[in-house]
Amino acid sequence: MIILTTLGIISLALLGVPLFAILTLGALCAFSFSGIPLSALPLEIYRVASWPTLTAIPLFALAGHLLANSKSPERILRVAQASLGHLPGGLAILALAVCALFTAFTGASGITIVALGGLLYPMLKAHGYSENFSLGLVTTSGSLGLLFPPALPIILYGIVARVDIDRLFLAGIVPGCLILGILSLYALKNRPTIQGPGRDSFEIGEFFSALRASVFELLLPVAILVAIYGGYTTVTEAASFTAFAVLVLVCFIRKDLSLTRDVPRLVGESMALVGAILLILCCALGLTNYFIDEEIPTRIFHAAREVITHKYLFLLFLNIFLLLVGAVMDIFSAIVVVVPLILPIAAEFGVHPIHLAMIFLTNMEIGFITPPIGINLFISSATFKAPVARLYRASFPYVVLLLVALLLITYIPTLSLLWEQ
Amino acid sequence: MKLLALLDKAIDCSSRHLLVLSVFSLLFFSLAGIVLRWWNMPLPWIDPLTRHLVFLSAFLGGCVAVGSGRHITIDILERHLESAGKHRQIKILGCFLPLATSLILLWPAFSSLAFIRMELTYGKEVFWGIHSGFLAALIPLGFSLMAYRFFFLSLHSFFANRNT
Repeated sequence: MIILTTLGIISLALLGVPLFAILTLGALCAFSFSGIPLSALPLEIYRVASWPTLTAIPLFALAGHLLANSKSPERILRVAQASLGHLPGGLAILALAVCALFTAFTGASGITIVALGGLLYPMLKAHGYSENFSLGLVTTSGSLGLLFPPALPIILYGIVARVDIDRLFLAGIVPGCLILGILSLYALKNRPTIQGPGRDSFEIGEFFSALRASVFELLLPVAILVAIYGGYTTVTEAASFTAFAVLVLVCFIRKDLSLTRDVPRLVGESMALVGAILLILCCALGLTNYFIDEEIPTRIFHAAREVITHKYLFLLFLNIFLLLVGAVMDIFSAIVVVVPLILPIAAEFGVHPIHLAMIFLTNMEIGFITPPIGINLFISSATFKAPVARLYRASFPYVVLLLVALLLITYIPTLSLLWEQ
Repeated sequence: MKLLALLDKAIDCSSRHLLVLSVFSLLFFSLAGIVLRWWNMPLPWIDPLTRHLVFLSAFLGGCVAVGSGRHITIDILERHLESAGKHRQIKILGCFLPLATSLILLWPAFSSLAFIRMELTYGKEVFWGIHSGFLAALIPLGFSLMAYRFFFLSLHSFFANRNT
């Protein structure tokens, strides 16, 4: 009976029933079979209302949506083009950096590809970059800033794994820069040999004008970091200030969005995403706590210990497993469902929880562009009207480069633990 | 069917309006909480209020996500069917999946009733004199509203398919 029910639930999940409903069903079935009162599930769900860091998720998501739907992407791209756009490979490198900055705010929800990719793709082509390179770059960029603060997946990971979010924010900086560095070298290698008509010369006047126009957006991530690590605010307080500052910026200073017309629509859009994430978080709590009470991770660890004897071998298998998870599961549901299970196993193998976080998030970052069903491939396909098969080819070199970065992040823990030391 | 559609639209519209109110209240109260703390005048009810506003937003956002198809799924099969051009199967899934989800969500909605009774007996006031039992009622209410919206989505897909 238990096996049949499990198979039925897995089939429903694969058919496409929303994950929060699957997790709810899984928890209720598990409680029924174990004789646990079913009211344990709503009890677990209601426990979420006592988590203080939870407020950061909707507020950072709102700030990201407001920024992405304002004219901020254009302003930041203008300053990027004015500063380094004239250098060989400069535009591609800046495209990577700007997308990383935006994804850190929008949480890899695909908005970066739609909001920035639509502007970047024609710009890259006009500068003489090949079609495949440009398509691959904008597709990859949609998930590039996941390791940078204040990315939603980092906050969610911190909540689920009970690791300090501010420590995770710091830990992500070096691995995030490493990924950007590797992709930038690839961009340099693929710089156009023939100068395209879109490449301009450096003009100091245009540079300062563009800088002045986007000074608030550029200072925002710096301000968040200074506020948190200067000891002025907590992560939650920083989220409140960021949402407020972005609202004032886009509605009253830049006047890109109307407070009465655009903002309510964007609140609805961003909260639909937040609602979907938080419901998964709420509904998964019952099931994951059941697994932990039943000592499932410990049993997996003991089974794995017979085959995997060394930490580095464990990390290799962990990466393979997480790449598979990332290819089929959304990052938020993967964090909520998989992290509580792997956390105790990784701890037994002596993997630092912050190092594990970076490995996990990098794997998920790769999952966004991994064929055949990486979500960014489909978003790009719809945005740029390109066949998915072509995007597989275009994103392949980027997948390989990200795998190289993953190996470095996995086997050089110092990259993630630099600030811990 | 028209009445059901009207009810679905009313849920969507009121969820969106409540979401805006909830998010702006969240922003206002969380900022107010910080500023008041700076002035050494902390208000103890602000923290639980903002956390419950997030909780409310999660369910309201979940309701909105039903209509806009934003709920997170593992849609391997649908993408496979799409790329294989099997539109008939996709239409069948379009009716079946929301109906299955609707039925699933009724279960936690009903099982939450026992939790509310328990909370009303053993819980306490959380803020503004509101008892935790009433706040916990957000759980069955949220699940029921989503169950209804998924049920309507299934009906809508069924009639849309029949007409085409």
